[in-house]
Amino acid sequence: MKLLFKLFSLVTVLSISISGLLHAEIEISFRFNDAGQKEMRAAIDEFEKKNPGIKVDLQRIAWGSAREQFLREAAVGEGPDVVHIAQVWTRSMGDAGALYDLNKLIDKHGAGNGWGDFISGDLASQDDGTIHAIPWTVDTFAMVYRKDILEKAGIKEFPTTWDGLFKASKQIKEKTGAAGWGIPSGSGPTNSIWFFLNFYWWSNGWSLVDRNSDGSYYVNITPDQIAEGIDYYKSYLDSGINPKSMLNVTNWGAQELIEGMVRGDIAIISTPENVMVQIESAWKARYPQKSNPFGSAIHPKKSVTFVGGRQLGINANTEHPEASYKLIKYLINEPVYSKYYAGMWPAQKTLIKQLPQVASHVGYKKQLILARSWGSYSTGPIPIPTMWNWVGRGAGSVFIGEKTSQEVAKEIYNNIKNELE
Amino acid sequence: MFYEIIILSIALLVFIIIVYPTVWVFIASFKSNETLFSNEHSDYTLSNYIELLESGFGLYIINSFYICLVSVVITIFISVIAAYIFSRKKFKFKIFYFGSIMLGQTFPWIILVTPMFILFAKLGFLNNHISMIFCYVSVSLPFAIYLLVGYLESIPRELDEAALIDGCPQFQIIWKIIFPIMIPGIVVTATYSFLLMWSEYLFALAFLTKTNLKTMPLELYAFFGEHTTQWGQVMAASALTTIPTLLLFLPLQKFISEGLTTGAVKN
Amino acid sequence: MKDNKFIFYLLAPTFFFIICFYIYPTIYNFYNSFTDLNLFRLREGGSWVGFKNYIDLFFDPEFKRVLFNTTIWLTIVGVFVRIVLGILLAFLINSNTLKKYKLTNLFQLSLMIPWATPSIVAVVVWRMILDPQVGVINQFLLEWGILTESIAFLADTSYVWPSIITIITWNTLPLVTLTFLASLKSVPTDLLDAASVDGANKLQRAWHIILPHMMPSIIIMVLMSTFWTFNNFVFVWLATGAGPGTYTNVMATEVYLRAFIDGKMGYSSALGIVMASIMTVFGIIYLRLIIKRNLREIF
Repeated sequence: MKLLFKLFSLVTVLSISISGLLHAEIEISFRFNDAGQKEMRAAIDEFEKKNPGIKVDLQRIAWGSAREQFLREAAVGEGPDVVHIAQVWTRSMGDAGALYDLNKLIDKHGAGNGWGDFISGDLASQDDGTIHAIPWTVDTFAMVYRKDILEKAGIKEFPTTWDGLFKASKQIKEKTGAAGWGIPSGSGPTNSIWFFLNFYWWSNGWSLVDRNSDGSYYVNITPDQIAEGIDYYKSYLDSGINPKSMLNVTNWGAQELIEGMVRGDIAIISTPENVMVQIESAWKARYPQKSNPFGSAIHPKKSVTFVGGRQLGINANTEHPEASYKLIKYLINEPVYSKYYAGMWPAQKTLIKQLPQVASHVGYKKQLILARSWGSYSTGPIPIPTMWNWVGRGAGSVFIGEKTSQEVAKEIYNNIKNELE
Repeated sequence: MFYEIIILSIALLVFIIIVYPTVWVFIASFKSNETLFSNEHSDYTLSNYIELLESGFGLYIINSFYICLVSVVITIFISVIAAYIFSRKKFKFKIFYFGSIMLGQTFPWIILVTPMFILFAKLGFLNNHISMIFCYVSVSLPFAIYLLVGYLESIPRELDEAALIDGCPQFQIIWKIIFPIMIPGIVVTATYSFLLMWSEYLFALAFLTKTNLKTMPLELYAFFGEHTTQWGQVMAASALTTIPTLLLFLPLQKFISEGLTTGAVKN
Repeated sequence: MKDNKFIFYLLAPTFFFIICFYIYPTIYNFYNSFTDLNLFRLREGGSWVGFKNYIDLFFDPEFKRVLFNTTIWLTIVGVFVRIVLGILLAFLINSNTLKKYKLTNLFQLSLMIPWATPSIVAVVVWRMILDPQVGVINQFLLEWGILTESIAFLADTSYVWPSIITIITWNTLPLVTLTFLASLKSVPTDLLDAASVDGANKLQRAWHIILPHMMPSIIIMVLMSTFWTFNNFVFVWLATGAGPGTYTNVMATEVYLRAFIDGKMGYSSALGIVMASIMTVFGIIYLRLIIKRNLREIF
């Protein structure tokens, strides 16, 4: 009797603990900072269904604070398991020991259609080949314009040179009163003028940071050339084409730009694709009978823009690297993009080719083909946010006439040169 | 008569300036995202609120409320007893202690965040409401103590001295005799602290990252996305943020002015 | 002796918070200001660099501008505007005219609205109000012919500081006004009556009797206001991002930029220590000269 009882309890205990192990749930957290939270949650629910035993907690932080917050957390052993980061953060975060080395996981489970298929793979890895994040989405800026306003001003084709763009903007202002190219010229740390200046410089073959064949970095632009870019954009403000109020607009998707385009106060802007989506839906909501007047085009001089992108990284302090990687693998595949993450292009060339395109957005696909990654800017020793801030603030000082473009150009040049050495 | 018209028109102008911005927020919260900033065309809708509540905003309001309420209660408790000591007792270096508390207000919060973050991380208090409550009490204490000391000064000492002679223990004196008379002063302190903590962002951002623990300002800021901002939700969230405080403190208005009055007399 | 123990126990909770929350971070920042701690190397800590951060700070041309902006524009002008408007508003609310039409309560209640509005909401709305295209101020000025072209208030260097101060004042005036209102109400009426019998008019009564009576409140409000404003980060950051260029950069935003954008946490700690020192010196002088005179009974 006693023996039976002992046996019985042993079996009970064993079966409870075994079932406990079987049903052990892994909980991981995924910090995703974009607006489509509902849609992403639906995508994750699908993932949980396919992977019973893994529960995913969705977090969100304002983009403006995401970088510093994650760095703080990683330094003390905290933070989410899977983190949604800007591609320009990956290298420095990996360097700081905040991100998990993904090489072994990639070797074991694969990633997309091979590493070469990813865009901005160079930004996701260090020089020694350690991979710290998987590129997830890309987008780029294209020029968006009001076809009707351009027609009214007598402009038949969208300009293809920087000079031509300036002249066309002037014509628009004179003939229709609308601003030509509305350039957000504010100086906050995530300013837009950084992008526009780089497009200008790159189109001329210059670059703030470039790499030698021996791996060292150098400044591939002279102060005069830096000043030329700044002066170009200053001319828009000085001749009244770009309204002065733009000095307080920092963000490339700011409400002022969207409103301006919809109301017809601004004829041209340069902006990412999902801002164009917002503009078009605002138009539709207000003027449902009128047709879509918007068009998109590539930047002048076949200018190369940058590929903006987001990547998915795993926290170096994570307790569940395998489960986290499973989530990432799921997220970088179709149908996540088309079903749950509209407005963003996948960071994989094969997938881009597969996805359809809206007619008015044709400029974006063209520009994406021409786009380059940040390359040496990101692989080099100066964090991009630092340079971003220098350039934006410097340009701002020139725009309000506090400093000359020569002064600012020399400052920027020297700052970068000193840090590179 | 003419004089009165001038005063009244100035009053009207001032009233509009005071009230207009917030009223605009409430109106805008009912407009669709696409037509929010447009002056001619306006689509009115409840979808901003619905989406907001669906995404769990109600939870954030509860979190904010809970943290602020607990912080206020603790602040009041600590500042009442501290104020009693400063007002009624004499001891060495009193002005030094008092001054050091007041000087607490000289620090920009932004440099306090990182060290507190590291401290709480080591203690395991990240993603824990305790850390928030701790910080909020700390930032409210200086002004609270100052206010209450001023208020206590206007309450005659004979009151508690009589009770002392009667053999009543000091601690009880504070709560049974002094506290009830101080209610208006306490209301002012509570209002000031509550409003300060209600919209606080820097500390909440650093210490709370688990979704179900977040407070309402975090969610409000999160709507300012990288490319675009969801203005409809921002307005609705702002409205929901402002309403509870209005509902709480409008009725307490009378106490607040009483509290400031008596406190002001001795000052 | 028993009394000393009582004092100790009742003050202990306060000082527990003060030490943990203010003293410890100060020591932390003080130590770090002598290192080159970097945001990306938080885990390793920084290496000792002595006074380098402070030297860099004092020779940085940006520091002079930041100091000027914070002290003159943000603090001195801001506090001055707030105090003066607070007094005037208190007089308005307490005026007989309003009492006559029973509008006093309505006004007092309405003051809660700006106070209860979170700062980010306040900034967002005011940016809209000041907008050159859709803002009501510009529309009003254009319609009445006062302007021929709209003003970009937050982008134009001639108008940006007044605009920022307007926003801050809107959000923080209620507490100041309510304090002054309370002080105003407590003026002994017999004094006022005696004065008007002696032939003093409204203005004279205000200047010679009411204002002196309100002086203690005013003095305290100036001190508190200064502390709150000098260290303020949120308003400037949300309104202009410290731009255009670095035109509206103040000390708190500079701390943020250096710590979290440049990653130079050692340097920004030094900046923070400088900020706290300035306010401490100011506070001590203030406390000694003025408060001691008025609160002598306690001390």
